[in-house]
Amino acid sequence: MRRALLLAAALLAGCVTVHPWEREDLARRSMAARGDGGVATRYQHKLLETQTAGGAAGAAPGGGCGCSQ
Amino acid sequence: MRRALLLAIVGAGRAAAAADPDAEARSFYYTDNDGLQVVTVAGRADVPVGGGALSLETMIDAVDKQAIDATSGASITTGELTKERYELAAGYAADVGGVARLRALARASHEPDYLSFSGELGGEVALAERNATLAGFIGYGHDALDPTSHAPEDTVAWPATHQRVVGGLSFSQILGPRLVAEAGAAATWQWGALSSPYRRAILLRGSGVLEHPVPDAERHPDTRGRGTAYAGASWYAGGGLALHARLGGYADTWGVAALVPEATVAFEIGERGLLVLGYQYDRQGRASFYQQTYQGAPERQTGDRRLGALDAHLGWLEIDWPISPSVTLLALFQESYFGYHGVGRGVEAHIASLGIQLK
Repeated sequence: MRRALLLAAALLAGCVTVHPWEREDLARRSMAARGDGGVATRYQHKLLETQTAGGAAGAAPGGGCGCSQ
Repeated sequence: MRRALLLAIVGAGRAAAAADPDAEARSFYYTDNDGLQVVTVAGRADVPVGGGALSLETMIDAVDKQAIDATSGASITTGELTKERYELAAGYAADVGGVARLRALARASHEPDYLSFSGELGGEVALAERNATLAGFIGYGHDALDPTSHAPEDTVAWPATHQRVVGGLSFSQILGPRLVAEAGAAATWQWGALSSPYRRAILLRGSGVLEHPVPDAERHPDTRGRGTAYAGASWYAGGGLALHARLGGYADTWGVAALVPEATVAFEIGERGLLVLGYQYDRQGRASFYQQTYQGAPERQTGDRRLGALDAHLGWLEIDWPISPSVTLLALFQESYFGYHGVGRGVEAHIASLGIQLK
């Protein structure tokens, strides 16, 4: 448990160095497939604000009071 | 934001991406069993300007709402409501010093009874030999509402406004040649007229067999603090397959709290095609003052079912299909179910979208 915590802390502290030439898989389009900031993401955010109180997780909630629905 | 973060940390760099024009046009059709239909046409274009990228985005909604409102029963709307909503956004992003990127965004939207303006400044910096990225943003928004009708007993002086400040931070870290983790948080503080002039709380008057419902003006608090946070990871499994998992959370000063886990599977088809399957679950608790019906004369009351407890399931399928070296067809199908606790019927929503991307 202690080793796992130390490993996690080391990883999150940036001790893992993946060199640019090792990042080919990270740059693949399937890795950037979710929430790519395009029109669909914006639309999805709007839908969640329309139907729930929270909006999209991780994004700032929109300002609407729901008045306009 | 996520794509920008990923591009930054893998070293591809948004500057390289911004050097080529990129445009997207999409249409969406939304329909649900609550009588709401929305046709949306949207477009976005990124154009290289002065060493950075100018981004323009527009979205036009045509809303058609039948007077069903079977789930809340609190609407006073009679007959059919139709209206259009126009949104326009413009932004500019530029690299600074090779490891940082700054951006500014302004957005405005207009409806016959609603006007909204917002602005945002943000940036991101690559750290630890681009193995990590720290990003942040701040913003301000101003909304003005001039309702076509409101309850005579409403204590809000219409037309009215509300304002908000927003801010957030996110962090992304490469954990291996195929693994990236990310986390972030954002917050909003709103103040002003936060009730809707169109919704009604339901008061129960009388007693016993003489008890009857009476619609009354909504009375929300005039401030609201809201926050979201998330943590997630993306893993490239090989063979063109990537898995994404994320847990999001939401809480506000009205007592609403939610957990939102999400999983996405993305599979590359050929050299440029992509198939994405996603699922999101949303479990939300109710606002402290939310009740379906009220007795007496409460200080706070609402007719907004979204402030009640709910469970939501969203599932979607996205396909990106290249038809030429510079043109990709985009398709999206989504099925959603929003179950509002204590309300007889949930909302089943269906979305279909078609679009085109030019690079």
